[in-house]
Amino acid sequence: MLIGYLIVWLGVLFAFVSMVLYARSRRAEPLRKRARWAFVGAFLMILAAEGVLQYALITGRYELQYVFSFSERALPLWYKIAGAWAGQEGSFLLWAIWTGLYGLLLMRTAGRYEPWVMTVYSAIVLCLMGILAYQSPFALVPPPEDGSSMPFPPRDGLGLNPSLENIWMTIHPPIIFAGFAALAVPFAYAIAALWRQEYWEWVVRVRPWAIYATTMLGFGLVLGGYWAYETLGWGGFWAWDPVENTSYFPWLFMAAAVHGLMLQVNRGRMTRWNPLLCALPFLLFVYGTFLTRSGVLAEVSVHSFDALAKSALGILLLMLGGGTLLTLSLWAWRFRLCLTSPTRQTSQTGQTVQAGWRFSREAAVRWGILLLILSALISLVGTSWPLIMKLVRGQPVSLQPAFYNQVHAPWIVITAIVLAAAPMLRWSGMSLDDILQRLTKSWLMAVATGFGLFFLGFREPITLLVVVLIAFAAYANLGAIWRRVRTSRVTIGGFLTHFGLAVGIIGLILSNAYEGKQRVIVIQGQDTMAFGYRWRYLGMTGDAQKFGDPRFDKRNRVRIEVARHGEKFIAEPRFYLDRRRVQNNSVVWPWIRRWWDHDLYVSFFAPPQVDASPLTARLHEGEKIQVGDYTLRFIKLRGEGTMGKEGFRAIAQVRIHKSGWKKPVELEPLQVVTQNGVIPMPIPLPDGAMLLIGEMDVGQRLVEFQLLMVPGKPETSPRWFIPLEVYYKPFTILVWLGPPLALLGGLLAVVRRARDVRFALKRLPLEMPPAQEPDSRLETPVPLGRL
Amino acid sequence: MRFSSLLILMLILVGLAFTVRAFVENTSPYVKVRDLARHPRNVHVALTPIPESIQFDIRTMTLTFEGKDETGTLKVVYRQGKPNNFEAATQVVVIGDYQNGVFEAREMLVKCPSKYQGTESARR
Repeated sequence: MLIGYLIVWLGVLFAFVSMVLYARSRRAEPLRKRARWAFVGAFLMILAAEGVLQYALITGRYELQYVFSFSERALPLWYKIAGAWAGQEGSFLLWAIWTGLYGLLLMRTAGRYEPWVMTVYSAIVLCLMGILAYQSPFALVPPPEDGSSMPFPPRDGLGLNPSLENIWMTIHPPIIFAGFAALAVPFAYAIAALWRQEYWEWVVRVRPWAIYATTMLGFGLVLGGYWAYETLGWGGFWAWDPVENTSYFPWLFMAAAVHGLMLQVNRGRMTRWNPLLCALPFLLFVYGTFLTRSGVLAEVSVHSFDALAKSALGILLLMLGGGTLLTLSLWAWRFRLCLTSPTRQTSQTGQTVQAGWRFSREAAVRWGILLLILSALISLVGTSWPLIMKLVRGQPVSLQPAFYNQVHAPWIVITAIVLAAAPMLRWSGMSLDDILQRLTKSWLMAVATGFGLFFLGFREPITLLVVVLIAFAAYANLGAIWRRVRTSRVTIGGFLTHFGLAVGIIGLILSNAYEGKQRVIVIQGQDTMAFGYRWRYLGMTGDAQKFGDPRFDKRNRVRIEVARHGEKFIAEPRFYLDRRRVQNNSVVWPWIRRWWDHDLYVSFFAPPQVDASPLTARLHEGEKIQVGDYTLRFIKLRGEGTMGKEGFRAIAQVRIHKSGWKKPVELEPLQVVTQNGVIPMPIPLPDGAMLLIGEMDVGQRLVEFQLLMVPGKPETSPRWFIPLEVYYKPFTILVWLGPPLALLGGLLAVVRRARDVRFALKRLPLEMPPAQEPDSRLETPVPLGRL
Repeated sequence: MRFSSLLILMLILVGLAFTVRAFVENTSPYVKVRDLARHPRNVHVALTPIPESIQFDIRTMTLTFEGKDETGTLKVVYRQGKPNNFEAATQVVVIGDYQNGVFEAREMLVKCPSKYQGTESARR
């Protein structure tokens, strides 16, 4: 696949040319056109690379390492396409595609900022292409070492990791990378602003991008959570795995930046901090990528990817180190030159500040920013902890995921209060009486919700308090939406996002804190009770004839009948043993039944196993018993020969029946006395199982019968043990309802702020004030948000 | 303004205190068998299972085995069924608590020799 390499290297070249030309076009206008063409060239190369990879995946070029590792002939077309982001190289390519696409839009919208922004941006594209050049998706499978029996070059691939064969997994990576890639735009703008020493215009331009990045990243995270819930089978949405955390803390930082930008536009605050806040999320994401892709976390995370190739890792480190150094030094250098924030401004309406205790929306937003950053820092330190300890002590120390849950409880309480107050507050500040008056309605509704939950049985006090507070925030924001819907519909974006998030978080907390979890080991031929249901094993749908074991069939479903009076359904969680990859070979797809107020979630805590030990039944003469699928009647015991002497045979006459047989069979298993002691003579059953006599007490006419199963041969009816883990999860519906609202709110805000740009810029002074001489005009900044 | 700042600052300090406590409670270091007596709670232990010692009770899904590292052997109880690649494992990492001479494993990571190690190492 030489053409692939060629395309990627051409991309490197184009990105480099674009970077250089853009840098020079800062003063030489005519070069700009060529710089643009070079960037378009780089984008086309990225597209071509993806095209070649898709071609290889769809036509099955298994001599490529990537195609070999993540695809196979039998895969449906859709998943072959999705294979393009199943692996490391493919996801870098996906990252590059979005980055290139945003670049085209950025080029057209950056206006005066274009040369500066696009120089930084092309440098990022250059790094990504460099990584792809060294960690190439077009590498060939190396010839096997001696002794390998695999054909070379391979004629079929290993296939997609089965847990990725899921609708969520096909859309989650493209969406989350849409978020990741968008982080580069605020970064580029922040650097450009520091470079140009212009601290106002960029804020207006970057705002829709920042909101967009936050929205997409957040939605990507949510989709990842849905995927985990639907396919991983541990009954939750979020596990605080390093791979998840590395998308989580950049997201929190980006959200903090969005609020920082809002404060600058509306109140002229945070001027100094906004460049840093906008640059950090991208750097943190690169850092997270480094953490998860470098292999340093391999010992503490089960999810960490393979390590990158050395040179590719070098470029990633360069991106991280260079970017951080550039940002911090530039920022520190400009810090004192930056416009000092205008002195405390009187309220917009020109009222003088009244005496007494007052709290403004500005203060609330500022606290919000602080909370977001603190929360992000905690997750950042937590995720880095194994690495830090490895550097300090030479041995990684892992942090249990419970840490994050415990830590977020107090933070979320404070955040909820701030979030509830924010929509009610005026920028100019309000007295405590006013605030309380405005919040009463929401608070009463939240308390009522709390009582409702209490009566429904959700009684754990701390959780209930947290939920009431978040409900308070939700109602307050709902109220804000309600008031605005009729007057100024475009302004509801932020409130809708906060409302959606609050609803989603309530769902997460309720479904997690009040989850009922129980282990149910369902044994073939025995009924088990759990959650008020009767659980009965029906069988597996896997093709045992073809694969030797039903569990080896990828489509295998374990069918369990779940019943209580008046209600009966069949749970079909899927279980598959993937033998192609040794490492992670138990594949589970949970089965979920949804009601409006709860989910019943059926998964496995261990692989279904066959019991190889015999079924035993102790029977007196004339008795009947059910063992496993068999009905056994012990008719009569008789002896042949001389009792106790060699050659004596004890014969038990048995009638045995199994569901599915046409009629019962009569058999005579026996024991023979030989020189070597008593030897049982097993009798085969029609299904291949063996019936034999264990112990017996001739005087009591009591015999222990044993039914020997043949493991691995389901047609002989072995006894399956199905170790189910069953969860009762209340109010998961909220987790599904909230985030789409938040997404809608975010997109509304993006559209609004993107429209704002043109108008807002008209209001800006045409010549940006040079930073060296603090300009009096900016003592009272133009309140752009009120345009 | 002052008062509210002070109030929220207090809240944040309480939050930080919570954080530090949670942090201390939830770090789980790697410990050698010899040192388990000193660090019994919430630790990771890397072990090589001894094949003859492996026992599995299917009715309770309880796996018991002995494993060793350079410093000694350890009896482990794991109640989550038997991972299906357990027999092939060259090394397992058990996470849990050590009490009364037995290690109660909450979680177990199984490391197997990879079939495709050849191709993977060649790639680097």
